[in-house]
Amino acid sequence: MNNLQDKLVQAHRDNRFLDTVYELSIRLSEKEKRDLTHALVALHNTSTVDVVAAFSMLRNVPGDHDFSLTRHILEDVLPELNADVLSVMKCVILLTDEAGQDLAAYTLIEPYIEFCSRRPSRPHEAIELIQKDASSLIDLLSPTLIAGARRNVVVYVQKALEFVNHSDIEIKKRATFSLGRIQYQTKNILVNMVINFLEGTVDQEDDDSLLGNIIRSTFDIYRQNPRTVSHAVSIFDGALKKGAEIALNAASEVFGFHTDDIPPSLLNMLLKHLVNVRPEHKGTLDNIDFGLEKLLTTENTQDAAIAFLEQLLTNGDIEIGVLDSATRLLLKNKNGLLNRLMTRWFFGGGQALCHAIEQIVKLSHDKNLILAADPDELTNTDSIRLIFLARKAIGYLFFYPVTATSILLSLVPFVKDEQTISKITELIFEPLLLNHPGEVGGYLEERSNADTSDIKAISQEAIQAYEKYIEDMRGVEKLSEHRPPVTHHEVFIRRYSCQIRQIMCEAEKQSVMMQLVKKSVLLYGTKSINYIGEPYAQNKRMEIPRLHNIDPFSLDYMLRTFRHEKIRT
Amino acid sequence: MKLIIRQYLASLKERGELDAILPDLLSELGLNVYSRPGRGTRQDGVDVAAVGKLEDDDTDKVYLFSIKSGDLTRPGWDGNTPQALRPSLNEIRDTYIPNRLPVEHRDKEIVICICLGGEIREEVRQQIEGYIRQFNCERSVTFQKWNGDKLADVIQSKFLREELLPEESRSQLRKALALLDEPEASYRYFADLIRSLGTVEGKEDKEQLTALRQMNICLWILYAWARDVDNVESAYLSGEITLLHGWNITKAHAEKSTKVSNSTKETFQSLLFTYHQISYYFLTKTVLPFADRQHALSVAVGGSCDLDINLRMFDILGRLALGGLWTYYLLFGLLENEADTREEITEKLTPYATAVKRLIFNNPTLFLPIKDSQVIDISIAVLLLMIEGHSKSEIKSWLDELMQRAIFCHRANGKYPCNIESYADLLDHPRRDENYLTENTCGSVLYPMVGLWASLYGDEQIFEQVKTIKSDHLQHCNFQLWFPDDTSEQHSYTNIEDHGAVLSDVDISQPLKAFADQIFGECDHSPQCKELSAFKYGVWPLILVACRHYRLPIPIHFFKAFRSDADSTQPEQSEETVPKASAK
Repeated sequence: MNNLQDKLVQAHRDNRFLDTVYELSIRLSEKEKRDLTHALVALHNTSTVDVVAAFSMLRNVPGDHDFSLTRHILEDVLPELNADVLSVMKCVILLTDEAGQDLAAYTLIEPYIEFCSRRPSRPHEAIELIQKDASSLIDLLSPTLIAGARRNVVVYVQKALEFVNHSDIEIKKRATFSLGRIQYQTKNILVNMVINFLEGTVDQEDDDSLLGNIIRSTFDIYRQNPRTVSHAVSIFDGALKKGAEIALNAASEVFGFHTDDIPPSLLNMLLKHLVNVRPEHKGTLDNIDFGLEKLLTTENTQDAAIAFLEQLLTNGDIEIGVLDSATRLLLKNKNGLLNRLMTRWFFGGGQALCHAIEQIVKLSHDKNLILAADPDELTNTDSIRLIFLARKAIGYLFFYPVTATSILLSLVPFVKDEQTISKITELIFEPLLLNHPGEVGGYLEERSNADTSDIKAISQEAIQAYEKYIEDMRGVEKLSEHRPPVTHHEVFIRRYSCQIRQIMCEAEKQSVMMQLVKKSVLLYGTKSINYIGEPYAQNKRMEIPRLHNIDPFSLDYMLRTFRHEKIRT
Repeated sequence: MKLIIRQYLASLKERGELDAILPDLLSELGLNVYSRPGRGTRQDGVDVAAVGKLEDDDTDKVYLFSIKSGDLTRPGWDGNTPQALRPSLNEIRDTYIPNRLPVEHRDKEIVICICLGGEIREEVRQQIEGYIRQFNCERSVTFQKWNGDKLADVIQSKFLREELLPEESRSQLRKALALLDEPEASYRYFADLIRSLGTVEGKEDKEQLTALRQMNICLWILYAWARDVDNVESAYLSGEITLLHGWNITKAHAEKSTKVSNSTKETFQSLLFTYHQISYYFLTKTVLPFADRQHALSVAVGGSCDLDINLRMFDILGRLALGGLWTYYLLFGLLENEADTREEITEKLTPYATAVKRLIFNNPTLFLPIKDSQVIDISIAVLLLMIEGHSKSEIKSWLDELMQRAIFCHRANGKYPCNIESYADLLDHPRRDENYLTENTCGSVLYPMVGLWASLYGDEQIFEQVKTIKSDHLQHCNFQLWFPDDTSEQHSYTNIEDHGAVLSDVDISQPLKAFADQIFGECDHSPQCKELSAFKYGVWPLILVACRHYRLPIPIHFFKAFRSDADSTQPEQSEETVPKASAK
């Protein structure tokens, strides 16, 4: 130990104190690290080395010793120091600021709270210092109040409430925040007083950040004392009605990170407001995504989650792709959840929801995702609606032809008349099989070998229609008269090459890949032979729809029609 | 050059091909052709008969030609086929010479000419010699063998000799033949050749006649070679330009009845026949068998992109409909005096009209042109279907779809019809640049024509769509219609200069009937259309060929005949420009 202290003292003399602390921290075992902590505390408390002053010299300079690891040593040391409150406060603020946007930026706050709470005078002194120099020290108001409350909850809650009524909005916000973090233990009267106070504050205040903090604190208080639920609902409702994106973000944090703790009444109210999220608020959407995923997995909240999701997608410009956790869950199609949504949403015909199905399928790693209409959604469905659903599946899933075909075939058992069977067969032939003979043809072959007689017959009929179509093409390849002029071909190739060159240049500029690998030019041959770890590679194919060239307008027009058509009620 | 001609002669068929060029050849040699080949009439072994003196003759002789295509083989000499040579020669001996030789030529020496596109094969040479010896013992006739080599000599020395066809023109012909696999280039060389041959201003009538015959023989050579390489695209286009330049020479002789003028008119008929041969071959080989198959012709184009398919399919549509209109024209001419003419015409037209309809509905790219100028092909197709008379619902359905798509494309920035003609620029169409729309849709013939057809059918819905596209998307666009003017007769067939006049700013906002009155009223102020020589002398499809080939709108006079009197508020009785089969 003494040896360690000597090293540190010598390092301090040599102006290498922080470097030495860092080097020791990465070299020592856990036990030895504890010795380091003790040594630092001892050096400070014996006034040999002013550790606080020394750490105040720490800077977050890239390439220099590791800022976070060095600062982490202080986190262990700080609560044990007999240090001047002001110097500690300044050091904590400085090192928190130095951390910048780092997720670990605020890890010094808890040691600071612990430091303050070790002696009753420290929170009191810290608050006085903050009041004197609010502009520099205000960030430590909340931790100080929390620390004080650990020594005397009544007094410091009272102080916090006073600060909430302060004229400075920054002080209000921090004081409000502290109300949620204070541990009220069994003091119900105090809790009621605080919650009522917050309810009143919501009515009086308009600041978005303040309302956000009220939401966070209210939920923390609710978690300590669930009897406050009705107040919480009222406060959330009031705050979210008045607030904007920060308040909504606070609500989304509650929704996303404490989904299981939210009571039904509060959940309904939260969902009602969270649908107003804007697509540009990525953080809020991420929080919502986490919460939604949990709701969808729970049976008794699934319906509410679906209703919320529908409203969210219908309300504005939000695409389901941003809700990646929820989308991944849906893609698992557990208990036919995706089938259910697909059937319901295609039947509904709403563009946003139908588009969402397309987005979900697009995000699937399996290009041949198989879906089927949900029988529960098809009860008492007439043939018009079945064809409507089939056309929606084609309209939105045309570029996922196996998925679309699987949906169409799944409708067959629910069809009661031959005419509708014929229509479904025609739709499978054109546009699906006609445009994607490779993918859909293979899938139909598979189904015609394995399925019930109806589906087998339809699959075979579609395949035969395609074979007839191809048979009709026999001989046309010899009609050299109809070939476009050579000059046209040359113009097209020139333009195409130019476009490809531009696209390549753009892609290379943005390509992470090109930063990782080198570019190789092959002078001869059609492929490159490389051995990279795995002895095989996945073969990815893409089929270009046949009508893309023959009649792109009709294809586009048909898909648009299928997408936009509605059933007249 | 001789090899080229021999190759061409060897590939000719007997009927309609080798016998079609021979009369011109003989006339050019100085003989007077008094009997030409005809179908269905009894020939008694003689395909062509002529009288006169050839270079080595002292006196006039009668030349009787029996024609066989290709090489003469054993079956071709004395087989069981109706075209075998020996039975034909027997018929000449037994029937033609005693009974059908014109009285004025009976005292003349007779020369029977065995005319072949190819050669006499060794296997039958002895038999032919024996036959000729036996024949000579019975009658005082002589025999000559006109094989491919001799015909090639005659063609070269009489039609294509240096003084008549300069080296530059011969070179153009050779290039056109060499590039048949690249029809665009081949046609370009052939068109240059035709333009140089067709420049006859200041030349004697006889020289003009020779030029016309040269055009015909060159076209035949091109066609025969094109068939051999299995690509008649260049021949089709060359046929059109040759026909038009041919008429430009012939029209001056239309009212003359001199020997040269009559020969000119006969040669034009030969040229017309050649054109029909090519057109018929093109359509029956490359279009008609595939018109009823879904997407077949679109696939046949095999282009780099949808633009290629669109451009070609409208081209095919125009050619097919034009073929139907020529058929109608020919049948009408043949059956004019018979009682049930119209019924029969309708029946013969049906396959063409059906093919046009199937072509459209099996190749959906035909539902929307990318170029406004494709209205030319649409107009020819609509004209055929109107003449056929049983396609009202299909025409309306087509036009309705066309308008719906055009409106949709304007709304969705799709490939709406535009005035761009450059292929490279069309590839980029439509762009979203500022002023792009106004610059590239500055004028339209398509929409007023659709409005006009809507008016003929009294279809308010289609007419409203035309109004909508004008008011919602094309307010800047000058809706216009083209009319022939005083200079059109001079330039219609050669397209050396622009001609015609445009009725500008056609007002589509007026009611349908008033619109039709305005447009058809303009026909009465534009009598130059009916004064075009092709109309005047009864070959009105030539106007359509000229419009198709040189990309000029079809004069709306063609459609005036389909306006029922009840629809017209004009005081005068409408005069039919094109006879109606059973227009409804």
